[in-house]
Amino acid sequence: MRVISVVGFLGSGKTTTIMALARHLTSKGQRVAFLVNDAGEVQIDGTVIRAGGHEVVEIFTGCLCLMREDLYLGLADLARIDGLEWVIIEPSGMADAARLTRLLERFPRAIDPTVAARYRLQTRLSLVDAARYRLLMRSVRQLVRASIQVADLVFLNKADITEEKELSTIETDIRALMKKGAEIERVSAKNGLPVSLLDRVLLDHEA
Amino acid sequence: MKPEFQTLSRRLVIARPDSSPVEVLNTILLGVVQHLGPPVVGHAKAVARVEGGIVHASTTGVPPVVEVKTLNNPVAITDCLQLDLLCVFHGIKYKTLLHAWEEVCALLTRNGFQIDVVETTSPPERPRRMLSQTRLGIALSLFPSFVVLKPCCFIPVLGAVFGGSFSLLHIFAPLEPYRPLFMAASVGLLGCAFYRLYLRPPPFIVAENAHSVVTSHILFWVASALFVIATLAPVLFPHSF
Repeated sequence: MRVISVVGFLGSGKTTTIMALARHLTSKGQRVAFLVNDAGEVQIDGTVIRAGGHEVVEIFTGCLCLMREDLYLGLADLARIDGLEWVIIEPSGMADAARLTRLLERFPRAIDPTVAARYRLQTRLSLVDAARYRLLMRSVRQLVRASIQVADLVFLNKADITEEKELSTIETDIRALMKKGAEIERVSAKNGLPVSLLDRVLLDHEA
Repeated sequence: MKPEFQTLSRRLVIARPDSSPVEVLNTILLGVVQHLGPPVVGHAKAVARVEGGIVHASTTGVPPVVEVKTLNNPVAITDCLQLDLLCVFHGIKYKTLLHAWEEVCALLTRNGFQIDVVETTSPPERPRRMLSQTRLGIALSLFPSFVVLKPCCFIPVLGAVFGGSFSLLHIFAPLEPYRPLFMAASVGLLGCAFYRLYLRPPPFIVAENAHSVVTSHILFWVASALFVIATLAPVLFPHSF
């Protein structure tokens, strides 16, 4: 069970991206399930993903990054599904990506070894909203920084509606925050993600 | 006061003959962000279940457009749609968000829509305020502990360890006859804190409050330990009392 965590602030394009990933995986004949955590009692993303015909585990009780037991139980439930190859985790846009990543990395140590053996946190994908980057860095800096710092791959989303000069400046800022070996790509998730990029998300970044 | 996230979620049934789900979603989401006023940090999103599929939409207000998508084959025109709405914004008051939503409802009603709120979520939880109240309760629960620790030879030892401030405990000496009342109050406050921290934590604690949560847990157990020591002090240190 290979795991991809998709982090990013509210409205950064996480749901659009994971739906594209799901379609891509399904077209390759691979089975995918989701673990999602919306910020309220009404779960919009879960409804959308389920309507797309995918299996979903929803966490209602609180922020995924703080609900260790719920997160681990959800993952363990998914790990028991026969033939499930991929799990995509979408926390709320308010989640602390650093805290969530730590929990995901520690999961194998906290669970039954047979389940742990099937689990691999393969890619940490971060979505950054280029159109609101300055605004977000002024008001929710910590959350945005954390989501960039943990990422193996950063998608600088909404590149189509952001000026080239601004994109270059933002890209330089983000590169300074990214961990060694991480990559950044300009994308427009709503206009569709190229297959080559989706394949890069599926690469084993832990290898 | 540090800005917080505010969420508003609603489950509704919206009816009007020959209405377009896309138009309804546009009106609601854009209405909310426009009434909040730019620049808003957060987003509003909604999903409408109609015959044949779903229509879902979201906006951040920057730029002021709503992205609408469909799944399966939802009908373009319907008389009735079930709609789930979720708005999450940072740095505004809940009242402001609620007012924006009420303005949108008024607009829809003026346009001939009939709105039935099927389910509305509980009033907003304010995690930071709840945690502050819990920490205040924990701090107050320590007061009886000091009352029971009469000034005696036990206190100077603590004073020597912690810097002498325990000499102030002399002022609590007249309250000693009320010790059982203070102990009961202390148990009550610690019980409330335990309930708030462990049995019914705030349903949505945003990540930025995580440090406050950890601090509150530590404070709770330190206060509980101090309370137990203070309660057992006459037994543990009989010569000091």
